[in-house]
Amino acid sequence: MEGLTFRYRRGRQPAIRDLSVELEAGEVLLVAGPSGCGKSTLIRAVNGLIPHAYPGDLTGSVWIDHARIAERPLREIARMVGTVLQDPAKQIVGSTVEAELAFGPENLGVPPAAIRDRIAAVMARAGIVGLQGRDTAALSGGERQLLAVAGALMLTPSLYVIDEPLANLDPATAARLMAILRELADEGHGVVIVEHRVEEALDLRPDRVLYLDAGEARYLGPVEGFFEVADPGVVKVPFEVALAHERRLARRAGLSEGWAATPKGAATNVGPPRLVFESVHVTLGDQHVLRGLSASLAQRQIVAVLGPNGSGKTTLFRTALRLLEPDAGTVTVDGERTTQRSVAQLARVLGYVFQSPSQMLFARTVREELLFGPRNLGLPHDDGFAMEALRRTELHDLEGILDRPPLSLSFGQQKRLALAIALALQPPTLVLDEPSAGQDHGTATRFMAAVAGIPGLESVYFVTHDVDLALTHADRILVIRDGQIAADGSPREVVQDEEAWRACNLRRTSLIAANLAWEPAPGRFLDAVTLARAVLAHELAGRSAGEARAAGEGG
Amino acid sequence: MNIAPRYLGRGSWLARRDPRVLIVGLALFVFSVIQVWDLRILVGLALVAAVYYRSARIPFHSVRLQWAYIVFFVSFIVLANTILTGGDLRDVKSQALHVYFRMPLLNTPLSAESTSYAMAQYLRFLSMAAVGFPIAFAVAPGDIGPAFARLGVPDKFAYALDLTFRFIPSLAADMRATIDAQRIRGYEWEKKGRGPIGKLTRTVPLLVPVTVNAIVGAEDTIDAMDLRAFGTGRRSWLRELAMDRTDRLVLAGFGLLLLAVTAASLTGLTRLWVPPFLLPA
Repeated sequence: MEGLTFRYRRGRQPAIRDLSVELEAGEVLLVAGPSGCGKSTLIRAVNGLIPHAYPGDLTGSVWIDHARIAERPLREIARMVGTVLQDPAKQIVGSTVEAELAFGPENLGVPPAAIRDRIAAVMARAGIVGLQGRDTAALSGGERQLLAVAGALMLTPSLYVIDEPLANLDPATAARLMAILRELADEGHGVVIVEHRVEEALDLRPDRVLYLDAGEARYLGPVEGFFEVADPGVVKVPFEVALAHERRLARRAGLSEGWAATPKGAATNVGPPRLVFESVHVTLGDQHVLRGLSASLAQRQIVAVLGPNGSGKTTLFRTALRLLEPDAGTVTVDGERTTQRSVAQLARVLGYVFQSPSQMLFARTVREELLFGPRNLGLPHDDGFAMEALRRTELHDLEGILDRPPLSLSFGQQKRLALAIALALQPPTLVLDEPSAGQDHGTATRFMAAVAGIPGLESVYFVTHDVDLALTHADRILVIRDGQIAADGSPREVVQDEEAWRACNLRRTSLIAANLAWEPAPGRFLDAVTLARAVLAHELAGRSAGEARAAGEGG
Repeated sequence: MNIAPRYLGRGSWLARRDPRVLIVGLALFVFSVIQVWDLRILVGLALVAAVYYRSARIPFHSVRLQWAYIVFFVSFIVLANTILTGGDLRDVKSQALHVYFRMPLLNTPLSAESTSYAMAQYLRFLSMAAVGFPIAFAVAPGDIGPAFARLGVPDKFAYALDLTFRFIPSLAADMRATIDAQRIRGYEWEKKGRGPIGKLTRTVPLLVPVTVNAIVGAEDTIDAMDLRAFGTGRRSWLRELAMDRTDRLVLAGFGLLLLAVTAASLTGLTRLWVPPFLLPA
């Protein structure tokens, strides 16, 4: 890639500027950066969608195997570059697993017998032989991701471009995917992986890292050098890297009292039960998703629900809101059976925030959007009420926010608007489905911190794949496997049961190990930056005590 | 996500047929049935359609909504047609009509002939629906594209047809997700608005997100297809289709039916027939 700059036809600014990268055969390039840094544009420039499908102003060029991408037809580029999009559901076009795998070779006119042989080899390699004959619509998120990668393998390209593959995967499936990509690199294929969960992507042993910000390369070089410049508040790096980063900052600026304050231990007053599941069974189509699940979630508690792909995490809360009806068992909210309340009445207690805000946004203005629910339920619905909901989600500062079209907001702002919409019904509890989906590490962490700081909110229950996000923001962890509770307790209790943790496809991150080792706040896990500062404060206190002791002995 | 139509007829006698049989069979049946206005022959053709439909073993409870929609749609068309064309029937002079009464305002005559005409239309449309239904529910997911391609439809269009069959179930899934998202905001989609504008306004919270997502989803699908060289040249099809003896017999049956009906039509045997019980005493 030589001096590549691209501005979309309707864009005011270039989405990427003056990017130059050279990738050798067998090399792995990790591209990291916050949302909106230009990584999607970079991917489109490599796989030929720019300029073939996305018109705009392009300068510079991309070459693959001595072929200039802009001058080659997509048919040829498809043989050279295999792309896996961020959301596999959008990539899969075949209605069955075999049809999906055959799609690329069919388009290139490969004879059926050769396609069949290739399918068998690729399924074995991707470890998806068990998916043979399945409908793609019935696959779990993790299975779809592996199928999307297998679809790219079918064309045997020389370069693989993978966009945020870890976003929809449980840690064990993510590790499996990383192993497949590593194998490809070892065989001499080039791999470009875009991922802000750098710690997990390190399993791939990337040769170099390209750090993008606002469309420009801020860093390009070996992983060790990247760790020198990486901001742990923006990308997720191993804890040791975060600690080194904070140590450098402390050396530069000096430790102040507030900066290194160690949070107190868990102070949650759990109160009586808010949401109780008793022997709940739920079937979706022909899948028995919840299998006699029982759990009680308290009125004042932050609960994170973890578990493998397809284990029933989202189904649990959809059942609580009566968006799904159980086959057997009972669900009660504040002591009353949910069957005695409507969906909207339940949403006034359990404010539900969907994974994707685009499923609900319809109005011409943010004002109309916010007041739609209160108006339907006969609650106050004036501008003051709308502004209050925006204030609680820190959207009130955006200029003319009430009159802006909701769909003109950025994805992160739409997420916050969805939160404000749920809060407009004044629920005491929020239920968040995958709050980090579609957001980079820094944005997701800030989003969760903002949720925890919402005044008047009693409890938050959230479903996530991000183990660190769950452990650092919740004071209770529920782990679901095969539709039943596999583990339940404080973050510390749950991660200490290593066997159960692994059985649920969960991973022991460096942050978990550091929290267990340092135990800075009883009963609570701290995020990387806060824990690093706590460790530094601890070291400083130790040093001061040593110095005082030495001074005393000297005197 | 593209969701395949429900394969409700899986394992049935009709589902075991080459999918081209279902498509060509429907075309032959439609060409047969549109030539007939005689209720007696139409009853026979409706029986053929019913037997054919039964062989797909599609559980009625799974498709009753679709049937309700078809019955409503056909009733509307037949009724509108009868009211509008009641006095202008094919092969029947207006002086020869056995008129019961005239419609207020429109002055269209309601006659024994127009009633027969309506009954014929009703039977014709329902028969066509019965023969067409198995294409949606008794063809294996992913077989639609290869079937049309092998029938000579260009590859691009054949695959587009395959995607079209999946568009409605995908749209329905999106619609369900949006209904859920709006229900938790107190929106009751079953509730009707006042007047036509009120009714339309009430659907906005559903239609806008579903439409926006459908457009965005379509763009993603196009990208995903482009990235795997779709439409850049002649394609092959993994699914290989081969007709067996039964398939050929079924097609021959439909072909003979068309020949017989065409012959009857040319000799004037398929003209409008009015059952005696409809004639006024």
